[in-house]
Amino acid sequence: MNTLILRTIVPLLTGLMVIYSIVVLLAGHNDPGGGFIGGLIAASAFALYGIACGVAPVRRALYFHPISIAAFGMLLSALSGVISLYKGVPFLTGLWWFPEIAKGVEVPLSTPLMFDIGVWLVVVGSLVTIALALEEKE
Amino acid sequence: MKTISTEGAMLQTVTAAIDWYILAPVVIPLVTAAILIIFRRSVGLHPYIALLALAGNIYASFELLMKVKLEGPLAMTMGNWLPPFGITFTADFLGAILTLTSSLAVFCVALYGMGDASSRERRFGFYPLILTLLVGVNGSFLTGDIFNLYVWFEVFVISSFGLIVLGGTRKQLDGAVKYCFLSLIATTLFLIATGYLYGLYGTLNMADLSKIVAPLKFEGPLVVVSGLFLLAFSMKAAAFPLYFWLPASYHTPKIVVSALFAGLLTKVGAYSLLRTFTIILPVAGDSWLMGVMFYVGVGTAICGALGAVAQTDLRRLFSFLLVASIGFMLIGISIGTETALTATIFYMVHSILIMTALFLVAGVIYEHRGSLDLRSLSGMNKDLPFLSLLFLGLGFVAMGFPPFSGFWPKFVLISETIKQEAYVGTFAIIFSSFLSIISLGRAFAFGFWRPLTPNAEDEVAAQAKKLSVYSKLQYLPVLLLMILVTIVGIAPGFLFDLSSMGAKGLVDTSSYIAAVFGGAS
Repeated sequence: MNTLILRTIVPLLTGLMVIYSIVVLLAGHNDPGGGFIGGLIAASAFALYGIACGVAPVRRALYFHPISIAAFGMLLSALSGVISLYKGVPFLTGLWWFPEIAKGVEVPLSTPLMFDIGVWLVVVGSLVTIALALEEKE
Repeated sequence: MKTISTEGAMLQTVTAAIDWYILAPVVIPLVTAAILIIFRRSVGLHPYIALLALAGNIYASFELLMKVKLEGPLAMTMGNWLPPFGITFTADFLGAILTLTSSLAVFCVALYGMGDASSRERRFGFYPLILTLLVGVNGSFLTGDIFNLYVWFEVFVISSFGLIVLGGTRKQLDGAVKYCFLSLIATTLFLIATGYLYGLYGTLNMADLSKIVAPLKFEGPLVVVSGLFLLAFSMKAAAFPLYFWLPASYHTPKIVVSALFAGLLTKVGAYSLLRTFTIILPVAGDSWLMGVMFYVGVGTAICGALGAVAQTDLRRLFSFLLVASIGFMLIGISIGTETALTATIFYMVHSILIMTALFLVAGVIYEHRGSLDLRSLSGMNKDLPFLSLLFLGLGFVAMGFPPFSGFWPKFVLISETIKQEAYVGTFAIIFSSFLSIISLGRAFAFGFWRPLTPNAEDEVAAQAKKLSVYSKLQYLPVLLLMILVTIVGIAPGFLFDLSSMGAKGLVDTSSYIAAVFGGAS
């Protein structure tokens, strides 16, 4: 779709949507959200960018092939379960780590978060693959 | 922050690292598949990485089997929850044996794929897909949660969709549509039945279900659920009268892919039937529903073998033999005594190995002749003596001649049908085996004994030029499988012990339940 309005606004919108998707992803542990829904938002951002500016800029912007991104997500999710091997607890047990980045500021990191980031990557990768394939046909 | 006591909900004991063998057959191929997709451009490396991972997988499955043999069924509940709330993986003998066998079969298929899958097909994900298919199959064998079983079904069904269209010719898409359509119906029925089951008993853990269902009468909604499971799994296992999709689709994909499907996919259906009607719903396993399954099995055995006699395409012929073999398993499951189940488990292992081998040998024939049509195949005993010997040997295995692996389970099953006075079953097994002798004998007579037909000579010469350096390598996986079935045939004691322990675990579910819930409950 080659309209001036869309082409002007979409790069901004894409950035906003991706940031929002990350907010949703990180909020997901305690609030509504999570890797899947966040991934859908990010994937629609890239799809929109593809509609407005063409498929090639999206592929350039992503740098990695979307399928590789999805595979990396799969790897991350699978490995998030394997980490519990070293702790002597069953597969996929949630393990937490609270590094103090500044005085009194703790960042809770966990294997569920790693799993969720993996899901986010799988959803983004696979949906962007499909969306770009469909947009390329036009 | 309020601290919450997790004593009642979480496992407090330390899980030993050795218990992880139960997850290895799922995690190893999954991680490897992900790595292969990330490096999707270096297709040259794919076979080596995949074979290495599969060899590791065989080792892990073997260790798992040995561990189960030593200590009885093994369970691990995900995420440190307590069963029945967490998803449990439970490896009993049945699951462990089948995991090892399917890992062996996939290793052979991957080895064959080295020479067979082009770099384009590898880029489209041949190796990652066979690995994820193995993930799904192994997951199905090891899971102790029926909804999780459904999820693993989806995993291997989706991988098989990817594999069946690899190449993307019109004929393949035709076969793929039939296959996909029936798979989707079967898995949907499975899901509906699972939802119904959860609505009835409020749990999906197999061991928990076993405890809840065991004292119930076989009536009301339980009949519906059991019937739905029977229907759904029979469709996946390609049982009479719903087997038509299998011969209609298994001859269209790449030969190496159809070898993989023939070896593993229908067996997962048969495995699920075995699991459902012994451990999960023990009362249904003693009901009139087994009578229905018995006649379904009889129909499958006879129709499959009859179909095999009528085929001219070698792969369609093997597909029908595969259907017939499912019939034997159904007869064994429906009789349901310990001896019959032993024979069934033994036969499943045999069937995974031999069906993979038969389809792979078809691949070797195709490599040399460019055709699998028995009307044009001829004279292979002259220029391909080793292949002839191999085909004959595999034929003997499939027919169930001693001293190969097909003989023992058939022998035990036949004697058990006589003992249980299920003479229709005796007849079906013998008649079906007789027909399979005819069909394989005919294939051998046409393809190998018959002198080379005059108009085929140019074709053969043209095909011989096309042979790649890998064509010798193609024999290796077939030979490997042949050696395996011969060893099992000559020394059946080892596998027989394992199978009978597997059957014992299915008849007496206490050890399975104890593995999941601990000895106390």
